[in-house]
Amino acid sequence: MKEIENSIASCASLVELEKIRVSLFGKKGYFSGQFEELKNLEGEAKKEFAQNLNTNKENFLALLSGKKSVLEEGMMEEEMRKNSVDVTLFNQEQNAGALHPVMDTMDKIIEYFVSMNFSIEEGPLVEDDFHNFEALNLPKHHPARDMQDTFYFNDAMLLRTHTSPVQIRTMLQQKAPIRMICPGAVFRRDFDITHTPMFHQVEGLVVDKSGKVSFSNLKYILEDFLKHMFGDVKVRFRPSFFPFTEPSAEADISCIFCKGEGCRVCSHTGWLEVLGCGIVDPNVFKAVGYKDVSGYAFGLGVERFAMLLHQVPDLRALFEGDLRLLEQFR
Amino acid sequence: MIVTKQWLNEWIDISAIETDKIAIALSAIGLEVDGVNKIRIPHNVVVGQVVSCEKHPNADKLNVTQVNVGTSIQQIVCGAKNVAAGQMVAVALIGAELPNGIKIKKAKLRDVESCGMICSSTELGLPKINDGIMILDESIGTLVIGKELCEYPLINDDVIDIGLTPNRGDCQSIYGVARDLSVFFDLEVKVLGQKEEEENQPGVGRVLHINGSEALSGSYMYKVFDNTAIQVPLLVELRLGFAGIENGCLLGKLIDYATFVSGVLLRAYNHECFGAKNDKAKIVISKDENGLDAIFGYDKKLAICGIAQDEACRANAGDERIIIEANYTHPDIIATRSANKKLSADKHLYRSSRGSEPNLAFGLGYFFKMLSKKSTIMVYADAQQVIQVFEEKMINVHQSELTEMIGEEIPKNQIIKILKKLGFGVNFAFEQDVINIKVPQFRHDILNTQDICEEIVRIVGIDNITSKPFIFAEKLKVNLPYLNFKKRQLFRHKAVAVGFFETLHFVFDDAQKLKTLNLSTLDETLDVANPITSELNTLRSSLIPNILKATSQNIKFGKKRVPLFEVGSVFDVNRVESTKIAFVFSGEDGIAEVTNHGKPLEIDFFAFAKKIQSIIGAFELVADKGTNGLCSPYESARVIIAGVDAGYIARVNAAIEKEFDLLRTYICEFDFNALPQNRKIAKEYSKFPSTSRDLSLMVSSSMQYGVLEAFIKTIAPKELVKFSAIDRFVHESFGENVSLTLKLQFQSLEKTLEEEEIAKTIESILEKIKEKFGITIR
Ligand SMILES: [Zn+2]
Repeated sequence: MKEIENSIASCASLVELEKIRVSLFGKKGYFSGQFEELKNLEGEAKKEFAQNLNTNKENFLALLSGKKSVLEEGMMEEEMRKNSVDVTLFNQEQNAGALHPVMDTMDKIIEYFVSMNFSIEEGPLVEDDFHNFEALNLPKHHPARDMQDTFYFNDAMLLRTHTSPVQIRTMLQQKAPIRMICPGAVFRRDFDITHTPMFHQVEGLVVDKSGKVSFSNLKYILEDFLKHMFGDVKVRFRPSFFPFTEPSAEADISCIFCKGEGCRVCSHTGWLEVLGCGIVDPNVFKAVGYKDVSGYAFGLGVERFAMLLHQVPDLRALFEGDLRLLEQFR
Repeated sequence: MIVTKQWLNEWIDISAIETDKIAIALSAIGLEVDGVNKIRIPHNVVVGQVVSCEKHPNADKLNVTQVNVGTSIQQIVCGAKNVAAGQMVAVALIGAELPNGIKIKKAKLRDVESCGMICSSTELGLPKINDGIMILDESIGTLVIGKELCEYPLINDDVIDIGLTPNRGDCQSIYGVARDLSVFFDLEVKVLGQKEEEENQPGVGRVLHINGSEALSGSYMYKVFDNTAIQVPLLVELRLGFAGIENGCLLGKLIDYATFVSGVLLRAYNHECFGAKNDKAKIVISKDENGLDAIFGYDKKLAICGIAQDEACRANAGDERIIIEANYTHPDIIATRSANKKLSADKHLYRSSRGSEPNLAFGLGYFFKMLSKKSTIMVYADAQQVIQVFEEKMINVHQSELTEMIGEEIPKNQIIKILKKLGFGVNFAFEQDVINIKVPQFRHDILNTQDICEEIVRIVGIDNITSKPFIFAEKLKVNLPYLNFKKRQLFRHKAVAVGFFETLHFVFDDAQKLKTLNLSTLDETLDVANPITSELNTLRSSLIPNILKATSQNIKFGKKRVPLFEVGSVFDVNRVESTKIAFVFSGEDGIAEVTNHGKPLEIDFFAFAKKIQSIIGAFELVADKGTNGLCSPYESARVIIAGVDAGYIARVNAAIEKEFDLLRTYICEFDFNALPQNRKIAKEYSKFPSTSRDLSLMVSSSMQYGVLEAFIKTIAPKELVKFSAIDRFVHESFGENVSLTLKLQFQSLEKTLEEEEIAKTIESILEKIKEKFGITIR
């Protein structure tokens, strides 16, 4: 018996193991013979023999099934080993594309204001003088029109120079209260290292009853927004001038590159100018026929945000579809 | 607007305040500082006096000078043409290091020893004032031979560049900036340029007569002087250099300087343009044909208020008798009229259209003060003038209005103090809410309560106002633009997942190029009137051309696989705007890697269409011959989404591939609105297994699969849940035919289908297509 036990232990394949099983438990196997012999015995002897036989049988069954699972595991192991790969051969180059950093930044800006219960409003790129200038307190020959070199069409229409005409359109269509942003492309006739003829703005407008909307409200949301976008930065406001707001201000954040120490990006001032804002000028409300209201407005350049957030050095590169740049945003 | 610390210091005492603090203060009150340039003259540059000056024995263009530098007399070889004995000059001694990097050493120039250098202004880091050496005068301080030039604060100045907003005409002068800054630091503005009595001089009435017609819009004031020699102090030259003001005429320099400092518009006229040499000049001021004030001499129009002056009547430094005019017109009149009539204007327009300083006597007085510093002149006593009465602007402001606008209360006494310092007249009763405010004439920008609010806010400092959240009523903000935003985002994200890169291009294109590509162009009457370049001279009607250009660039840079997409606005012939989404794929469909043995397949029609399908969802293709000049007629289709023609998909034709140096390239463009974004409805699905069978058919090679597909759909029993072509095989033994293999998938909602049922169904389908098209099984 010991011999059989040894051959089970040293058995190397399932086929061999099956042979051993048959030799033990087959119709002509060892145990069939033994059970035949059992018939010839009686009394205590039979009982003792039967007990021994059963113990032996169970012992061999256990040995066989144990060995079987060991062999099966070995085979699976072998199968897996054959399929092994050099994982370091994995090609690092990605197959996925990427969103454009300007559009992605715009999405993030929009998501902030949507979370703050602003509605999104849209307007046409081709505008008229009334919506783009006149209604925004920019009468003809206003010196501030100098700041905006405008693309005109042969029929005296123009490409909007800012997203502000959408404010006018929205106020002409809806009653106060208004709480909106308008994201979109705008156009200035200017093309050099820091200017492209098309760029993107997000403009915001909040209008409510007279005396309700204050400069402190404007400060609150813009500080919160800028911290949302740029992280732990300081925000400061400087008085400025826009024809459609009064008082007007520009908001700066502490330079995200030098932490306010002064560097090339911030022209050694420690501050980065990021948006313009103000209390809506009464002439704007007059132009849309609003009475007894108060409001604030703000506007920002999306390319500027994208360039700061992603450290893109060249504005024009954003409009060239250059994969050497775009692939970095995967 | 350029100011300097020392220049401002002439008007307000800021000597104890650091320049960086001044810059912060200027920005805080709304005069944004764009940059600060601190000018420092290096050590070892001293005041010297040229004792003698002789020609260099061996060089025509050089002079050998002996220069007293205090401790010694040094021999210096100097190449400047304007060097002469007696001059006070800046001498860089041996050991000096100049800002341009030059280190002064003992040298020999053509065998003559030279111990130092007589400097020009630019060699010391100062603005260029002439072509030679800088000749010093006492405008920069008392000249002490041997004294270091870095100890003269007036020329070691901090130059501050302010980006002025167009509303602040009142800050277009050194005086104006000083006046505004004085409020922040609570300083007194010094009174300078008051008229000094010209004792014992003949009165101006002897040489000048003004005839001002009624109903003029501007004010004019005139003084006259007889000129012997006009000279310009060095400090004036240097400061004009800081401010970037160029004027070739000595008199012009002084005029420009006085205007830049005072903000008052000044002009100089030759007396002879208004009268004979020893006669009275007769100046006539009346409205011209454009309704603007004009200055006439001998019935000839010589100048238009703050807009232009005839070159011929402009006085030069050599003229004997010169009339100086100070003028002021309200900026609104200047801006509107000059633009309406498209008048050509001189440099005064920028200042006059934003608002010049109305205090004419101040400007004239300051000019004569500067003129008399170094020039030999005789000024006639008094002035002649035509002055318009200034209509006082009153604004009544409720304190509560200011509180509501700002969001917190600024104490009334603080409001009053700020306004008074800014030059406003203030009347109020403490127990009442109302403040009566009189706006000073120089503040053209102050018109209403909000303007007053801005003045308070900028002086209080916006950063000192508490931020408070706005309380508002809840309102659902989901509208069409929001849904469109989400839809755009959805498709853009899908495109990225499928491997496309988003691009962004200008909405402009080249009209000629669009025409040759058979793409629509704007009607001429609606086209761009002032394009920026000829390549961007119209609005695009398709996103594809710009993306193809980018594709071409990428291939030039060595990219083998260029998948790009864009969502953006395009314009039709009537300039109606719509949104499109376009995709371009050029080159290899995959990256070279171990699994493809370094040879990725090239993109083909079906692989491209499959990618697009993964992004935009199900569509059908209808073969066509190419939507525009970009498409190859042999691989081109219209794309039908839910029964609507949404756009096209095609290979770029060979000529375009060649022109743009493209790899094998596919394009498609869709109306963004046609892309579906509908709610999905779950249908009942089978719980029984499905079985599939492949079926190889012999079909005519000219037959479109779509025809067969459509027919099978009409005859298929409901158990045929899906079928598609999986192989198309050509062999010479087939003749005109090809072998087309279909995979058919069978499944029932009620039971597991038996082999016989499936065989029967296939049999019936085969029978019908044989009957219809003569197609047999292979
Ligand atoms: Zn920095």
